[in-house]
Amino acid sequence: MKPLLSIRKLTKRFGPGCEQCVDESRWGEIDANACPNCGTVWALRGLDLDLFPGEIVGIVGESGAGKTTLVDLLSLAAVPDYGAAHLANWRGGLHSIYSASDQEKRHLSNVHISTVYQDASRGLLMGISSGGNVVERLLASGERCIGDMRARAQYLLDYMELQGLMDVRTGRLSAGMKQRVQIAKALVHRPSVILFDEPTTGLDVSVQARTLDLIRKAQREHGFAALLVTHDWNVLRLLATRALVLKAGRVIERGTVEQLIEDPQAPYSQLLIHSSTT
Amino acid sequence: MTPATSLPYAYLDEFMKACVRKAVLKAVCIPGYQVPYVSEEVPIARGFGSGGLQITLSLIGADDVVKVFDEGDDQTVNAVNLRRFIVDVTSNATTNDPAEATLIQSRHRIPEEGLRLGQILVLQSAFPDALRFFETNEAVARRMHAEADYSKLWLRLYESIVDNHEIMIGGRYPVLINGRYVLDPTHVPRWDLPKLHDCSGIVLFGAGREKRIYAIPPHSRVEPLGFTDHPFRVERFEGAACHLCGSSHSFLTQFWRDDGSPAWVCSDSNWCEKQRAALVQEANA
Amino acid sequence: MGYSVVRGGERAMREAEGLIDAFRKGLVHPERDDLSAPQPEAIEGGLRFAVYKVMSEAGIYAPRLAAIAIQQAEGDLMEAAFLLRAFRACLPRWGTTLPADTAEMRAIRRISAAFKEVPGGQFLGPTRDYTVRLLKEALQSGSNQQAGGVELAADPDLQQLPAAMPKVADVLRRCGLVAPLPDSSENAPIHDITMRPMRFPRPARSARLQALARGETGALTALAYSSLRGYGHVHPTIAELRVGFVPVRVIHPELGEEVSIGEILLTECESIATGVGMISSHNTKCGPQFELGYGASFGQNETKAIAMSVLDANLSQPQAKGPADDQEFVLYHIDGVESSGFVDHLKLPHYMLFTSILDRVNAAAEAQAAAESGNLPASGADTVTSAKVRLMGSVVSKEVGS
Repeated sequence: MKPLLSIRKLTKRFGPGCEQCVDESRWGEIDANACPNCGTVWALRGLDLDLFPGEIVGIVGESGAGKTTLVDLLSLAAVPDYGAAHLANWRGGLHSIYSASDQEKRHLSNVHISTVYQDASRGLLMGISSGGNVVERLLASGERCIGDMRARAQYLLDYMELQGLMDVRTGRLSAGMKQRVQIAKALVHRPSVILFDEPTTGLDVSVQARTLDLIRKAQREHGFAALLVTHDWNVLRLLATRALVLKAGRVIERGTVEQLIEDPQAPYSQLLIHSSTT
Repeated sequence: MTPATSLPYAYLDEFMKACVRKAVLKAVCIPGYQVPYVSEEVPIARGFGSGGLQITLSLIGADDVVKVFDEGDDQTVNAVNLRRFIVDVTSNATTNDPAEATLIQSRHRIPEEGLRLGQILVLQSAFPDALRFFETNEAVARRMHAEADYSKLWLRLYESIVDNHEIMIGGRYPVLINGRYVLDPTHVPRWDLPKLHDCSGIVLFGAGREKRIYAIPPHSRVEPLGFTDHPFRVERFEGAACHLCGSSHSFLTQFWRDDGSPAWVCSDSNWCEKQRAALVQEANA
Repeated sequence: MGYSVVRGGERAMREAEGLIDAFRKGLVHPERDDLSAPQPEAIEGGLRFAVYKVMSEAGIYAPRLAAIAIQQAEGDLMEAAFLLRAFRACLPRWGTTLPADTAEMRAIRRISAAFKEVPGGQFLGPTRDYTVRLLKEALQSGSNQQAGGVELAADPDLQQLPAAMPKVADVLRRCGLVAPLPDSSENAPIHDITMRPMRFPRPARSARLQALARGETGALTALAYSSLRGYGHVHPTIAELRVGFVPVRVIHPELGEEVSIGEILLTECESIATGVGMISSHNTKCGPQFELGYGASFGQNETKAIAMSVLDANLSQPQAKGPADDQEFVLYHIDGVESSGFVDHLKLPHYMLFTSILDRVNAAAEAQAAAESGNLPASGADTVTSAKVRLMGSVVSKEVGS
């Protein structure tokens, strides 16, 4: 099977870099973000990943591991210093998404790669109705029939169990509801990839469970592939099939979720799992 | 040093005129794009048509016949004041009849009879940017224009329909020009916007205080924003007619008679006069 | 017929101008023979702060013309600044002066709020800062000589002011507390906003300073004050405030030499941008350094020069905390000619707009009634019953009945 999203050597640094820290062969020895020599912070170092249609891949790590940077890069909010990402259904997968113009990037993140943020205010306009937030994506791609757009938004919001809330200002909804509006918005163009950036962090346990159920249902029925950034192994166990463990911007271990939880190899992975499951 | 007693033709110095003309040329070449320009003071207050006046004074030539009207009326104080100044500094001929004019400066109206080839309409603009009402940051708005990213503007129209079943924009109704830029047509009534589409004349917008010039060149495609199932609508005057000329197919404004009863009158005073003259002629014939 | 009222006509305008003329000549109260209108000499001589304010906001140093403008505007200083600026816009540009070196200012006043002792010393000079603000009725009839009961020539201090004083900012630069001046050759490009439009998000600093220098004193003061109260980054310490005469030099067009063509009165202020609540220095290779904010104004206008220096420092901050830190917000709203003109334009008729608005409000009311009676598919589920109509881009909202 051909990968849907193929990420190669994705790298993001803040600083000029020096002879010591740009040398890829030494990256294996490093376990801090900042270069001790020049102070350059390496947020992500040479990440490789193939995302296949219909799968959910987890990204785990502590803060500073590079999770947020990865989301920013893939949602096209930032550009990498090196590396590429090819999306099979954009330009036949021949060009990296980072070669896109700003307009094409807007189209990509509107239609092909959706993002659900931990902080709903990054993904939604709070002064606008929840239906309006969903409809914005349709407007951005040129749809001009109110009736059709409302029908589509209505269907998705109902699907996310937000019946009767379509014309309520998003800012007035609860935190869990906002996340579901984000998911409805993410689904509107049937994207091939959705990035979930800690989608349930900070929600009450019961709300969290319901939201995760809805994500799982949506994934089964809509068939998107997803990257799930989380620090919660329970979330991972519920949704993802395989996962990557990030530390200081580098992948230190990868495997199926079961493997990682039952038999983590890297000491850092072991530490992460023990600290969250006990 | 004493205040100048003899002024150059059309008041502005040549540097200023050149700046304005350059901006006008650029605006005509990129329909709907807001061209920044240096807008130094003219002896008309900001907000009273300084930008329109700069364009008029920069473009006027000895043969031009000028019409100045304000809200459709040639005799309102601001129109009189601007016309008086233009005549003082140019001695050009003026007219109230848009058919005779080559250069028309206006605030808030397009002549009811539209424009013909060879005419230039200069509209005084208060806010050059149609995105301003929800995006005050100029750098952000400029980026939206550059990328034709108007989804947030459309979203406001959508929300308006959700709230009120109607697009609740009175004046400054945004129009899309040649499928590219969204443009603020100033406070002309929506009634006038269809006249901008495929218009034979040149329409120039001067925003002096905001230091922007933009344009609609002849025969541009001008589409007021609207949805397929909630289209753009002009003002309705169901059953109303001008109390002077009886017209029911021109833009009317309401007023109250001394006895408190409402009545309507044509907003374009010259057009109304022409209608009345035609009626008299008809009666005499 | 009611409609003719709105067409003022030329006659009404001529009458209005006649009335303005009559009022200017002191005829507001024809029965009062003790009133008279001041002549430009009296304004230039006796209302110097008005003259300074008008020159500074008009962007032209011309005391007599400012006095004439004030006379013509009957003391409306915003209007006077507009008159003078419209006059200035027509002047041919003969050339550009050389940068003035304020270190060689012939100061009449010089203080520092940062250091007790500064090279060259502190001189209080002509200031009202430490006077008791009692209304002195005796001043009314006083002539020049009697005004304050002070014989100027008898004050020895005035004659002891040094001809040139080193600038406190330069002292700070030598200590490394303030970044050195960038290498400015004399040909460094100056962005003149009367020749080239200002562009955001990052206008040149010279454009920014010029916009601030032409700004309306009250607007600058209000915005700077908002920063001091915490709606901005900067609460400064005044490194130095000086008022005095600066020579104006040009290159002689034929001789090619530097010549002095006179001097102008200038207020200059340099502020150390210490932060609100916290010390906001930034670390550089040379250790922590402070930003300096710069302010200058024609004539003696200390409040404006200080406010300008505060805002200049605010606008150097990369992140906006409040309105006073926002380049667009500050630079687009401080111009007195623009803001007063636009506020005044509200007096112009807006019949078109109002007709268009009424049409929309009525249309919405009809649609709402239709929706309630079931003739229209309800599009907005829970907003249909709302009795308010919101007009976009407008503060107008109207009850459309229950």
